[in-house]
Amino acid sequence: MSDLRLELKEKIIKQLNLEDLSVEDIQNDDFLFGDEIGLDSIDALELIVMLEKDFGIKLTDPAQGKEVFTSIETLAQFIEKNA
Amino acid sequence: MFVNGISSLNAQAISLKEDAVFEEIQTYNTRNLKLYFSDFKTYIKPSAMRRMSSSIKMGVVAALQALENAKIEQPDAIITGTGMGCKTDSDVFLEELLASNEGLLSPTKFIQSTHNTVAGQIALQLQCKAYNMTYVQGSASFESALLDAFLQAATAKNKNYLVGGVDEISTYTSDLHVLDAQLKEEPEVHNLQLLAYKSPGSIQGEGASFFVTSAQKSDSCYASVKDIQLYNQLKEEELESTIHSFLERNNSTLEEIDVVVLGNNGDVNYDKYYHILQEGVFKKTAQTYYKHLVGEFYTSSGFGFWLACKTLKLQEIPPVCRLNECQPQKITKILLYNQYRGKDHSLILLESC
Repeated sequence: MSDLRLELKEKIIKQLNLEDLSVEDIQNDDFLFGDEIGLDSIDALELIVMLEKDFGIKLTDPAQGKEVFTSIETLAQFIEKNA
Repeated sequence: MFVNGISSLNAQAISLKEDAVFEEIQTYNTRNLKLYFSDFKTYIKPSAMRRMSSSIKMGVVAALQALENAKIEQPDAIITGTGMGCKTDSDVFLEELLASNEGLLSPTKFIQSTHNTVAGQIALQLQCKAYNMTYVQGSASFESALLDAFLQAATAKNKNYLVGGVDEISTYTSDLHVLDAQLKEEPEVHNLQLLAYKSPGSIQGEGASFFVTSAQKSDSCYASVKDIQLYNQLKEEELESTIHSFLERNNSTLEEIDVVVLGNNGDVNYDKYYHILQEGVFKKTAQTYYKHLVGEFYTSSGFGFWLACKTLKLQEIPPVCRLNECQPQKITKILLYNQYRGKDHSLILLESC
């Protein structure tokens, strides 16, 4: 597992208080929103803040979020491309 | 108005049994009496709980327990009182605001830090779209919520009002309260000896007390609320005459009060209000207190109200709450009196039902 993907999982668990999950429970391709990890719209706001605060990336187009936040993999790829 | 369901969470191990008050008395040697209860997962889904601060969790659980106790699934109103709201999240939000130079802030802490979050979360848990109100009136917050239900119950039959008070300890506020002598200087205070310290300030606590009230008496009824009166300011010399007038307007006399529940918190500067009554008009009345068990907080009087309801139902005063040796033959009428630092005085008259 790449460091960035591991870092993202750790940050998401801590930032969103996902106390019942560990890094091993989140697969790179798991859907973050919906049945698998179960994040919601408030979590999306937290992720937007995390992207800007920790990686210096400002998500200006709300429509972009749906694609970027699909999974750890899509999020990592977006950061690698824009950081 | 009748009290048909009760619940209280605080620093004590509260018994859920109908015929008991406490599981075992918890003793502390600190200024901070934190919540004893921890079994939140029985009542709240982990997915909902992950964003909840301490006061939201205890508020939601106490509300659910009170409804369960009254055998009610949906209330017709949710009315809460809180002195400080979700203080810990407010502190975190403000600290982040400073640290980020008013830049990027966590939305969750902002959303969860408003005073009405607890009432909102209870409504969300119950999917209840009825009247939802939060009173923030210092140490009269719980009483203000109760007064709202009392006034509504006067004109509406068959409505159930979920009424409660909730407050939590926050580290930053605690530090401030040491500075302005709201908390005792002594870092270690034995809670059961609270009244013996004779120093300024008190010990602090946290908790939630919720009640289901209605104009309709249920089989599980604990007490009947006859009257509630709040006074923002009251001089020491006005206290006894105020109580006389309060009882008179309720066609009651001092002699008819079987138990008086007082809010003594060990603050040498302000317990004098209680001493006036203890040594005056209620000298021969059974006197009880409770803040040595749960600490002082803006809605700790909710626990006093819970204790009075239990006392009426069980017809006995818990020995750990006794301030004198008077023992009434029968407990029919209880008067509750509370104030904090000489302000927000409240009187509540309860009768057995």
